[in-house]
Amino acid sequence: MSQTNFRLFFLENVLDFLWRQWSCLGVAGGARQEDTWIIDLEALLIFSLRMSRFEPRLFDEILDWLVINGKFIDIQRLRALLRDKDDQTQRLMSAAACLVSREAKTYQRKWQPLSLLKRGDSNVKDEMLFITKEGQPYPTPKAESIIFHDYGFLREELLLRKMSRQVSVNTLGNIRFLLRSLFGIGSRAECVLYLLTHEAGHPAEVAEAIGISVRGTQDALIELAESGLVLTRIKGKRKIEYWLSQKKWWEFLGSQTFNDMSLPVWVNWIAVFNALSGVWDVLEQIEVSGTSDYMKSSKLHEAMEKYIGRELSNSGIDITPLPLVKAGISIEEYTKRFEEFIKKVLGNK
Amino acid sequence: MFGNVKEIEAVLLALAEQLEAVGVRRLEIVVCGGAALNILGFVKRTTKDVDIMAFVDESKDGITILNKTTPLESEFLNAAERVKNDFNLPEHWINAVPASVIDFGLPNGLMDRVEIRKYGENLIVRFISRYDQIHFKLYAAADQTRKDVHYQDLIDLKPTVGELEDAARWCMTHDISAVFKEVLIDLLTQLGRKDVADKL
Repeated sequence: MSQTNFRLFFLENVLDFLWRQWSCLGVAGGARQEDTWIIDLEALLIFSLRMSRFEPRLFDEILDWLVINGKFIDIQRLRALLRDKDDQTQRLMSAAACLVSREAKTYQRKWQPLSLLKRGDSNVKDEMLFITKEGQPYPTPKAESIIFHDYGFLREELLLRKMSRQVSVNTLGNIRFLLRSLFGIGSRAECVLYLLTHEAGHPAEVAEAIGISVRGTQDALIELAESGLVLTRIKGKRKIEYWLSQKKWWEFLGSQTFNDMSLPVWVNWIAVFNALSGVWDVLEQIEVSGTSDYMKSSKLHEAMEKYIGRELSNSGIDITPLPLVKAGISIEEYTKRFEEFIKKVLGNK
Repeated sequence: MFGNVKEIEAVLLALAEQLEAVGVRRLEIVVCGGAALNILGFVKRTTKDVDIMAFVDESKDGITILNKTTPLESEFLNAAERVKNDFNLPEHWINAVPASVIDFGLPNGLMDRVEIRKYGENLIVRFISRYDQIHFKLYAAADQTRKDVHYQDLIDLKPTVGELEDAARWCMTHDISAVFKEVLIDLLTQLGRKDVADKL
């Protein structure tokens, strides 16, 4: 497989994976398939807006879904995750927020502040929003979307199909939504979710995994512990860790006996999407750089080490070690191994 | 471990590309040891590293200067590290351990006899000649470290009487002790060159 084909392979696997994730949430048009992991809506949304520029249909279906289900989004968490993202990603998210605030009047107050996060300005050169999978920009729009133009993106006027379904909060994979319905959006729902899927956790590690400040997480855990349903214990010298009875909680939330449940798996999607974004950046650089096969392979290897090896090692995804390039192993063999690796990470059949 | 010339040249080319990627437009090195012997076709054996004898620089007056280190050390080490990771090579797969030889003096005219190869646009490697390898190998075979490998290399280089005598005299400038001279005489006798030993 050539490097160009590998880029396409990676992109198609990512898009296929994103379609599956969004279909679980009620987006119309994708092949519905239940994944066993817990979806991280905010991390998924940021990554999806970037990658679905190569799949306009998915991009628009996500916006459609936000108009119907936008109430579930944790804007504060979304802002926190956006903080270290590049200007382009922030503008893209702001444009989506602007559209949702106009299309769904009930969410206007919720979404409008995010639409002001990052707008286009004189330093930003307009670019086509959608790009073909081969990397070519879509043709100039005939009837341009004013909203997106304000953020530096050119696209045709958007007509939402309003075909998205309400999120099914009773599906175990959507437990995050059930918890948000129960506790309200914010750190409490996130903390409980973490404790439901981990043996225990102290505030700093919970905070890192859920993408909320340590202070906010600690406050939430202390308040939850006051209920007596979230418990504490001492670990080590002065460390307090929090835990809960998973059996009792899951039986209550899942309306089944604990032993009959197929529990969804926690995955650190923040780390996974950061890793996949990093690999994609490298693939995009390689595509335009015109360097040798070896350098392409080396950059890919470096990205694999940096992003996949380190960031994914604690993500919760069971992955095999990285393939190594050895003298005599061709780029074709290397990309073949990488191909198998990506399939495993993204869970594509 | 490099099994053949193709593998050594593949990593040298990879090193050149990595150097290019970090902005090194030109790096010139002198290479001795097993890698040089293999590339110049004097032996066919595995070798574990690429031995740099010197980094080549040029003075303002255009005079060639041999250094034990390079001003581009950080770039060089980064590039070598990436190649190491990409090809799954051992630590120090390329090293300047033999560069200490510069302090004691090189065989006269060594730089006039090197064979120059270019890897990529920026990495120039000067492989030392068969004549100079005989000098280094005789000295190394008289030492205890990896004696067998150097001894075999020396036999494979098929030195003439004159070449061995030159090499032996050069070795004795590096170690002037009577003990070393005895070791050298024993070694030459073992090589079937008592005639050379008698001249020392």
